[in-house]
Amino acid sequence: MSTELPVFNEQTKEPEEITFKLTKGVKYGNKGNEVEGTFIKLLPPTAKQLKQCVPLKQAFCRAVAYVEDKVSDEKLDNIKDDGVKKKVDGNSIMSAIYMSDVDMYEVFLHAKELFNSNIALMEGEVKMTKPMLEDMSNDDFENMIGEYMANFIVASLLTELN
Amino acid sequence: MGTIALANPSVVINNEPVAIVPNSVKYTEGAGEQIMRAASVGGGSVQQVFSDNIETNFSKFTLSIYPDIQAIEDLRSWKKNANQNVIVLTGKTKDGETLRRTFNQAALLNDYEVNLGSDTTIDIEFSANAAV
Repeated sequence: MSTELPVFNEQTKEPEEITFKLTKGVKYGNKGNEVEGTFIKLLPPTAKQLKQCVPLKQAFCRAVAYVEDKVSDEKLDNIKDDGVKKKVDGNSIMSAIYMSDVDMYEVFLHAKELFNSNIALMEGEVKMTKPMLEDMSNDDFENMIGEYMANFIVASLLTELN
Repeated sequence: MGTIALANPSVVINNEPVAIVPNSVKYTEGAGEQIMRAASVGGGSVQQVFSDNIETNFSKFTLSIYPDIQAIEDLRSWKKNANQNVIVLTGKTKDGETLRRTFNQAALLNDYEVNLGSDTTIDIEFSANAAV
């Protein structure tokens, strides 16, 4: 699993930050030297990131509506595992969006802008910038979007689904 | 068969891309200067004495930027960072050849001049560890 368990706020029980481990390191400059980062700390969005979060949440909702519309009840029942529905996580979210008619390129563009807006910190220290995001592998970037959506953007919707 | 010169490199300073004046980037590898002297072995023959002056083993990185406000503020922050700046130069030609150089511990040693005008540029020079 590429994400550590989130850190929860004791009072509100909502995740305060998550640590996303990279499968392929990303080089970046820190304190005068170029080093390789192995994890990214992700912080929850604020109203400042509304412009980037809203389209991502909408993409997920459209994907869910599409899947419910296209997939038969019988097939939906088949996702039960030992009588318990599989937990919806980052991978499931990305798969659902891919399977829908949502424009994935737009999703990636919004996600890139989101991660470039002070909510992603390389090694918990250095703000992620466009060159650093562009150096990430496709898999890491995609998984990071899924985990961020699962833990922050659509968390309230997932509670209902789960 | 001809080759294509690299004329459009990307410059990233402290993880942020920098908009540069085209054709203004220059750098030295930091290989330093060497001295070659002659030692006489008699009879008119000389022997080469080669030495490395490691005092000169630093890279220089020069570029020009336009005097917009963001660039001027960035320049000020690079100066304040002392020798804690990192410069990454990358370039790719149309035939697919790539170049990448990293300049660690880069510093603006001079008190740079900010030329404000409609057609002026700001010339800056970093000194850094030898390029890797």
